[in-house]
Amino acid sequence: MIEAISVTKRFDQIIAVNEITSQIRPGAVFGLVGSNGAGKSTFLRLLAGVLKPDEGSLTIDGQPIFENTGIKRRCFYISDEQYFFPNTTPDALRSFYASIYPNFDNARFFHLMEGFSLDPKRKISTFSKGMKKQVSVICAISAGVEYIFADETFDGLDPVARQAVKGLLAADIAERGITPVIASHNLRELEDICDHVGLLHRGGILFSRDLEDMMQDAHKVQAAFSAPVTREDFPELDILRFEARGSLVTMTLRGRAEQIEAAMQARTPLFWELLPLSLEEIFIDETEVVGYDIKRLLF
Amino acid sequence: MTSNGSFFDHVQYKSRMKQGSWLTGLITGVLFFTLPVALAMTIGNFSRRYDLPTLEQKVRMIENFYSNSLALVMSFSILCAVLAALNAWGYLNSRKQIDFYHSLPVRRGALFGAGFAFGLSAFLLPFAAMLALSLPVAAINGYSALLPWSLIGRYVLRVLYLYLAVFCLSTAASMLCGHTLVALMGTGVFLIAPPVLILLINYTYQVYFETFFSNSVLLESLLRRSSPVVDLFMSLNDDRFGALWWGLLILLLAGLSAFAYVRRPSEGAERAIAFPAARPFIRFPLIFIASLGMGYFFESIGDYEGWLLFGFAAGALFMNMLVQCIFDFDIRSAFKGLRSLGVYALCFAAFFSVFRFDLFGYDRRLPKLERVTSAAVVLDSTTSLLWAADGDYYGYHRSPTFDMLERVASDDPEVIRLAVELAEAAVANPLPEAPGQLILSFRQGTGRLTRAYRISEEAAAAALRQLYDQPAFRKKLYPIFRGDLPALIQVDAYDPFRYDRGANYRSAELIEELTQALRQDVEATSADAMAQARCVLMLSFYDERTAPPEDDRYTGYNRLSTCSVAVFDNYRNTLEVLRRHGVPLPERLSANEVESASVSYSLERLADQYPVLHPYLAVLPPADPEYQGDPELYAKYPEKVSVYESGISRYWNNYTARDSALIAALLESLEPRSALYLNPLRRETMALSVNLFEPDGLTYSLQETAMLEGEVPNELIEAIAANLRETLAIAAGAPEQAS
Repeated sequence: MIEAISVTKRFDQIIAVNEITSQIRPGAVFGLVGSNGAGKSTFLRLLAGVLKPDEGSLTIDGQPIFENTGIKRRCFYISDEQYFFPNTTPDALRSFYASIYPNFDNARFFHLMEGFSLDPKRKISTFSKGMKKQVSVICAISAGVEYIFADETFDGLDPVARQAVKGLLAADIAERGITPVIASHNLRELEDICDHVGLLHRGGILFSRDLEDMMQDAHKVQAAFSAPVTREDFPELDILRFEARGSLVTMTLRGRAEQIEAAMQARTPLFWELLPLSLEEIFIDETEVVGYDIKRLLF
Repeated sequence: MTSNGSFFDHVQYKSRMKQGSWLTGLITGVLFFTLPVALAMTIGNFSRRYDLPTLEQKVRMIENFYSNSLALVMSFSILCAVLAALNAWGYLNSRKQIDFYHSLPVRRGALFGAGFAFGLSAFLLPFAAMLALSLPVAAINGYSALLPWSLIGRYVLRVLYLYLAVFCLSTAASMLCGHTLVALMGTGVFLIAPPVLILLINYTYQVYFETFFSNSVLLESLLRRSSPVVDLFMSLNDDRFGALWWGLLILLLAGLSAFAYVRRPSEGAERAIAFPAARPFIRFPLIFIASLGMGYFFESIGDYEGWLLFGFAAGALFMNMLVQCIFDFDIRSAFKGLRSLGVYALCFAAFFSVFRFDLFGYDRRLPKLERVTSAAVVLDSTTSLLWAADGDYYGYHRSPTFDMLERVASDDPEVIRLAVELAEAAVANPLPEAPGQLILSFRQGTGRLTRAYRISEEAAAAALRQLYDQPAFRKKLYPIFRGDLPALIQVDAYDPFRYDRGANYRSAELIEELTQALRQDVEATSADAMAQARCVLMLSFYDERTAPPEDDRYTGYNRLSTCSVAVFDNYRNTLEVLRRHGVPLPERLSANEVESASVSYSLERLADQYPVLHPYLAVLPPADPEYQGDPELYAKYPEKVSVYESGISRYWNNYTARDSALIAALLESLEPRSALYLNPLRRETMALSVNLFEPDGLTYSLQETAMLEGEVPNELIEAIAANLRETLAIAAGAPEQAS
């Protein structure tokens, strides 16, 4: 299990990660979402042992990660801009990783390369951005590690490749119980694959919850009342966003569906419906609560 | 899985070697042409030039090849070391690469070890291979037996040290910096800044402390220790380099770099300085160097102290701006850190005031007689004797080195007392413009006080007479008394007037008796006696180390001996030993061996001593027109004779003596210059110099001579006066002819 306790990382005067406390349980896909500059990449670099926390502790199975080769051998980090040696080929890269990761599966590497229609002998520098991402994912999966830290890995992959990567990760989770931690802005992708989501904003963590719980716990209500209503008319509800246009009201709120239903029916609306929220909508509403509302600049 | 130690990882090493193969290939190519190919070409050219070369020629050719080509490799190794370091550590400056390397399950120490090993291999493997390849090239051409192994070994060591030292310095710079260009500049700073700082500090002492004695040995030693490039290239001349120092420094730098690598924050990539805390330690030394350097530069151009202060300020401000811009990669940061620069300015002002106003009384400091345990006194007239103790008697009045001061230091109470009195007199009555130099060095307990004072000629002469009459002073002064004199095995006895007359002797008995007799004679000869002494023979002694091969032809003073001694006509014991062993004394130079004597004289100086020349000086205008070389100035003195009309200068004029009687008189007053340097009680006149020419005009067998002070023959003065009279008469009659 990955455990972060009050992890803080500063770059000069900037606090990139601010007292993050979270747990990532094994065998689950952890999605790391957040606004630009929220500290997602920094958190992943901390997890990968590239950076050392200034404060707090970051452990995997109770052991610190930084300069711990035993732990790092169980992890693979795919950065947002993965580095490849000049003039190297996937096969040479395989050879390099195979000499570093003890459980590297060469047969699986070649099988996946073939599956993704990638030539192992071709120079990586001639590959497209998406193909390079595919090579990184293949190396990560073939490395036989327990933890994969992927930064914007789906960015640049075509839909087919995205599905294939998701399938691979799902299969490895099922077979080997690996724990991918994926940072992405593409919340639609994360929604499909993540079990657990951590939302970062300005270096701090807003929440970290199971996706299923979160989906069940966040709702959108559209209702029409005979007389105008205000936010204050619903004191028992945890409203994230409230929009009223005459008697028509749209609300985004947290809470159980039954509780919301009871509250709405108690006010006898002319019409009302409960709609499920996408992860993207949850992200927008949650960050808006803490003051991240760029669209106000535009409208 | 592979071996993965704490400080080495061979997978990483292989990977780094692969990534840096272009550099290894480039170095291999250059060394291939510099060593085996160049050797093959050199041997080929040599064989075509000489049909039947002697063994000596072959040896010289192969030695020259290796010394020249390996010296070239030394220069090339500096470039290679910097390139290898930048290549080995370049990834630290890229966030993309550092994310890759530092996320790998490899300890940072092992990553450092791999990078360091790559840096060494990139040059040393091709160098070893190409050097080894040159050996069969030599062997194929029949030179294997003539290979100068010792020379090759010495050069290989130098290349090794230079490469390692520069590579380690560049590695340290790379650890400190987060950008390749800044790391490159950092390497330059590491290599150049220390010697520049030493020179600037030394210059500051020289300029502001009147009595500062520059310890050239210490200065050279500091300069050599401050930069491997300085030391290794100076070692080409004197064949010694600080192997132990650089060995230790290489180890220290490697250790520090490994420590810095492990502690280096990954986020340091793409910043100018990876360790923010190191910024002041980089910034202020650079500002200090720039302040001093630009201050002295502007003062040298403007020749005014205001420019010095301007240079100090401009240097500090300019360097601060430059450094701040580099630190932030932002030109808008140029004016950052002005407050701390203000604090620096105050510190710098305090530092400079110490020198400018001699706040700590450097020039006024005096030894305490009761605490002085030894004293060394060196006057201009005694410096040649000190150099002669190293066999270099033909050394003019060169300033002594610090180890010479140590050598002549005497613990004799009377010498100490005289030395302290001289120091007190010099401090009480400073003469910054006086022509002579008096160097005093006192040991007080564990400390040392060394000062160089200006002294008048009269005071120097008086001081010398007093000191010279102390036997303890003489014993320290003459090389024959040197306590560390090695076992002498050969003595050359030669004519001080003629180059081609001399012989060498290897009789142990003669050498032993000669040294004993010389010691007795020096001990017995007072200052008064030396003031009358004339040289009759020159001796050069050699030990095992300095002695030439027995079959070597006599070459006179061009060879550096162990020590050189002049035999004077009042050295009775020495002359007796020479007579007993059949060593002939050369005859003094006679007039029939000289065809002419060219006399170059200063009319002004000569007229000072000989009133008969006053009228000739009186017809010339004052010094200014001639000194400034401006013919228009002569118009101010219509009644005077200009140098353009007469050819007569108040400064230097020539007169050639051909009359044998006059030449004979001249020879009576001439002393071999080499001997004059070894007799501090006799001086050459500053008013004239004489060059002797032989009858055939082709051979150059006469040694250089000098006219003794106070012994210019009257015949010469009369001849010069007659010559001036005649010249002026011609000038008055036909000025256009004279001019």
